[in-house]
Amino acid sequence: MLGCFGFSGRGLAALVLGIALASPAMAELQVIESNAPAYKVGLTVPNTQVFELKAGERVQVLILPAKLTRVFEGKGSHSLPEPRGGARSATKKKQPE
Amino acid sequence: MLADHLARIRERLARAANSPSERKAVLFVIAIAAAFLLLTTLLHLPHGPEHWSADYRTARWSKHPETQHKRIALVYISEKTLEPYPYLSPTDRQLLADVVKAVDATGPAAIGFDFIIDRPTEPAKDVALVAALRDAKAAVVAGAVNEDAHAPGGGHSYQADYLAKVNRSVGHLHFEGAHPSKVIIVDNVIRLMAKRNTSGTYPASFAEQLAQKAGSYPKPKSEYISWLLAPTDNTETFLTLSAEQVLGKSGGPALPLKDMLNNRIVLIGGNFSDRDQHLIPLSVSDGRRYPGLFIHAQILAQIIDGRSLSTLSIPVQGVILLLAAAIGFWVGRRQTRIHLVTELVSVVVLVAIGILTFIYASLIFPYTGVLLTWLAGVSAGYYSRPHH
Repeated sequence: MLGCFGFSGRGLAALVLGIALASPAMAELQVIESNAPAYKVGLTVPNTQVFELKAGERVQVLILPAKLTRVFEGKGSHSLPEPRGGARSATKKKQPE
Repeated sequence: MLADHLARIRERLARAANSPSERKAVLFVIAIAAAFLLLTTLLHLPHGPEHWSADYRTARWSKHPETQHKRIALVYISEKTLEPYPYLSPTDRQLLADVVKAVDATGPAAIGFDFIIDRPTEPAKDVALVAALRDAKAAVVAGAVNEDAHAPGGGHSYQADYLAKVNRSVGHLHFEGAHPSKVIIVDNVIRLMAKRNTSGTYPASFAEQLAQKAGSYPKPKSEYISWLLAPTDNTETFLTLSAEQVLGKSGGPALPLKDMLNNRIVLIGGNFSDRDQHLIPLSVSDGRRYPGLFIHAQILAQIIDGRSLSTLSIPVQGVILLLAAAIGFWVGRRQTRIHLVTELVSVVVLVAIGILTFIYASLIFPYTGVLLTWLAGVSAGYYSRPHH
């Protein structure tokens, strides 16, 4: 039956497996630095996570599987697709002494 | 049509050559252009008054990469790293040695070590640091400052001894601040990379040396740093880790350091609130200061990405200033009074030229010099009219 489509049973299984492997892995965020009590270092959350931060709080995440770093900081709700300006560098803004 | 125009211009030039007042006008124009060219080159005029607008242009219209830089990573040692240690400065040398070894174990393309080692501390720790840098498998570039800063009078400094023992490439850690001048107020914003200084102890810069370890790249066309803005995916410009994370002391599961740092150029340096923090053009809107390591990374990224900002050569600047003075003079001669609108429009046009040349040609247009020349030309034209 499958032969009429040009597939053998084994070929189809390989195709299905190939598609499954080629699908992008579900992206996750791993908290790698944080001064926010709600988000402890080591916490892993889906990439849809919204980080609710208070003033002065800062969370650095590792985006998996791409292994890129991203920083969320300051009061408000932060998430992966937030508009530009949410994070620029790992350097905290210096407060006047 | 064009021939008619050229003929008219020729006729006017011939008339000008025979008329004392026209001869005076030509002399005015040449003098104005020459004066502002001298001001531009000797006092670095465009770097003075136009700082804010130039920085704004840089911060607004520099390149936003799509994502984090793929070849550079930063590892910072900060006050937080040093919380368990009894002193903050100098940075504990055993800690530095451990960080270098941990980074080296991930198989980086090169390691840049941005710490000035200029005094002895605890002997065993000093030895450990030298051994870590000397024995690293990766190519290492040690940062240093000119010897005269440490050994006035030409003596042999601790830094020189340390570098000799480490036996690795050395790159100087200096940036070019504002051009020294008694006239221009220096604002201490880092806009330029340091020139290659053959008379300095270490002629090549830290970033240049690191780029050489990673491949062969052309030199940037000017000293202006071509800044990378935040990536469009909002990741950090460079993969950034703390020393605690690299040493596995930050809590949580171990990071996949090999995957993160392998084959990258890894820069190790300090991020301390009281030293090596600088204003850069990207600070223009929020006054944020950036660690020296971040600036070295920007210069390195520009070299290995092949990005450059160009400046106009002196002859080309001379021609542009001559044209600005001549057209300004011509406009001034025809005005019955000095119009504010003329001046405002000329400012807007020149700012627009500056932005467009920056975006589309990566060119720094000396707009302040041209503007001042133009305004001087307009004024000279106006006040040299026959009724004056």
